[in-house]
Amino acid sequence: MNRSLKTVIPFLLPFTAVFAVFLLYPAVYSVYLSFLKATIYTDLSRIFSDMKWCGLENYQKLLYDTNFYWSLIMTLYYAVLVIPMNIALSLVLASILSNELPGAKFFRAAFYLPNVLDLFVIAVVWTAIYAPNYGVIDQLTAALGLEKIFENGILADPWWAMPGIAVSVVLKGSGFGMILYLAAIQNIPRDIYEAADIDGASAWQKFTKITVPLVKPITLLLVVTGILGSLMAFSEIYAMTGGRPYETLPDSIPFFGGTTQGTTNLSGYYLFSKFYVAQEYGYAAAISVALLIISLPLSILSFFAFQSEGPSLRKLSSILLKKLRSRTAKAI
Amino acid sequence: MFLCLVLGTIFVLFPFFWMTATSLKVEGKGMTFEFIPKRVEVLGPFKLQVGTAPEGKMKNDLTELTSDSSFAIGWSAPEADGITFEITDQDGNKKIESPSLNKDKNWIVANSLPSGNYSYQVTINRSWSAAWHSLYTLENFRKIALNPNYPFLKFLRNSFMVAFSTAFLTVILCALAAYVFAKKEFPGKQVLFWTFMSAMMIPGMMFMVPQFALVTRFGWINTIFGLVVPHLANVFGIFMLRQMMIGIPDSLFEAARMDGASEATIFYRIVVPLVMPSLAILFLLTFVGQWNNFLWQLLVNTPESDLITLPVGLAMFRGQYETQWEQMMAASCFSVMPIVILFLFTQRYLIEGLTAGGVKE
Repeated sequence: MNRSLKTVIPFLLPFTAVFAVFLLYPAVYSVYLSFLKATIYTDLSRIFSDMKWCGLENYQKLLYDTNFYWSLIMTLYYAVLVIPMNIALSLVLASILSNELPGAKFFRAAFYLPNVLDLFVIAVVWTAIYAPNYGVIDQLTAALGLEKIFENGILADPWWAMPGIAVSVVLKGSGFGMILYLAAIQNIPRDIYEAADIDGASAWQKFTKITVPLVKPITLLLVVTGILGSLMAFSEIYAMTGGRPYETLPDSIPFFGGTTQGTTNLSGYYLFSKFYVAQEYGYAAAISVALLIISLPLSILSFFAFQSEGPSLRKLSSILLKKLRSRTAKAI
Repeated sequence: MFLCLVLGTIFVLFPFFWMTATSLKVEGKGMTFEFIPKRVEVLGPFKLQVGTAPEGKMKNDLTELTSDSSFAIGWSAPEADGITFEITDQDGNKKIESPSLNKDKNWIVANSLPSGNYSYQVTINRSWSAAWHSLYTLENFRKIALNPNYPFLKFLRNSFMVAFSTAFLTVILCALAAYVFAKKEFPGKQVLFWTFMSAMMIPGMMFMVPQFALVTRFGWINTIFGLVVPHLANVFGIFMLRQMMIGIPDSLFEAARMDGASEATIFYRIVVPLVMPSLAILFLLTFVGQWNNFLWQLLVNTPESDLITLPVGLAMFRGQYETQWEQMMAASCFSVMPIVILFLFTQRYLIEGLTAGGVKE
């Protein structure tokens, strides 16, 4: 036993050391930090070793922070915009590609390309596309002789800024879902489709009755990772709006009435602004912990969804195949 | 169906095309829908008033001088082959139409005109190459590369350095640990493995605050250590490599041990060559991931840092040149092109690596 440890340690040590210092310790430290705060006596040049214990004060503040609740609601809205669009686009692209048309490899690569590019840079490009007067939208409406839709560009419009961001993010990210769907569709045994053909199913029926149910694990995975991605969304907001435009909400809105809120201020960006801009490190740590509590069940779900994707897919398809076979047998 | 695919490609890659097109055009034309160079270009009509105090104006390449009874118009861009000026009075009657002028004589003077409002337009004829150069240029890239305040070539070097060293070290650390998890038995193996795996379930951004605190306390702000070391513990890498290494038959190891090979030799001579493709995939995924790790690079670099990477440099550049779209798009192009080129050569591995089991970014 001793000998086995001796041979193993040199292999394990480098990774374990980095893991312990930069992942394990921070996870604990984050919680500890959320109980600290900087006071007027804190030496700012070594702020992290000179913060004072403040008990649950940060969490108390978080409990009454309307901006935080607002950012969560906006995150939910963002997720509702992004996830269905993303799933629809990925699934459509994947099912077209699965027909093995000429040049399928090329198109697969072309659709996937935006996914490997830096989100921040692509978002900067989108600000140019959405820019007022010089942007594509304003030039198109001007060329068609229409009035300008958005006074100062779509990203300055409190109603349309978020959908604008969502479209750009979906176009960038859908290649990922497409690849996963494509792999899942190619795993579906051809016999199922052939059996459906014998039954006289239309292309649309085959799509909705066979393809969509059989790629359900991937859909679940995309929903969960989509929610997690929305909670952590940062680069696109930083590049495109910075949480703006800020609006003072009318009093008629329950709970948020009278407060000023950033209409694209998502929770990940809110965390960043408290952390990097306002430098309230203890409070930012408390936000991190709160977001972690929200996201942990989803993370665990996505982890196991991905683990079990293979077997469950095979099981589902075999059940469906049996069902179809019995039906065709009866028909004959 | 094929048409759908082509349209889809154009749609999905639209930002990419727009960025490239804008970055290649001359200043002021980048964001227009002008893609085909024009040999004949008509400028104007511009308004002109005769009968006021002497005045001179410049409109891009046009110069106009007016006085109480005469005016002069000049075209200063050297690349035109033939220039025609046409002057109309306020009733729409043509007053003067100049003969086709050239670059040596490129201005006209109109004398003794009754005071009032006039308008003029300029017709420019160009050779194909001149027309091409009046729309497309590499000037934006030159400006970006030589900008003294935002040295993009240095940013490029930094990005490469950070991405390469992180990817290289990650592969080494993960390969070492994955080998042990795949082929060795030792006490606490399961516990350790699941501790590692559980870290995969915590979203990366949750580590932002404490990792930053740690890096600050180590004095690693603005250093390569701060940029690289916190990302070396890539649990997904262990997971992926372990799956590959489990498949290596044990008989190979036994044979090597019989020949008296040490553990290090076995690892280096047997394991590494056998899982080389997976190592390459892990390297590529980490490289791309770190190249794009904007948030962390933004945190660890202060504006005066020597190690500012491309996206962070672009963010700073944007603060200064907000409306210089052509240069900004050139800078964006510059930031993503290395990855585009890498992707073109390795897309099969990148996509395979993804389907092989990668979700975690």
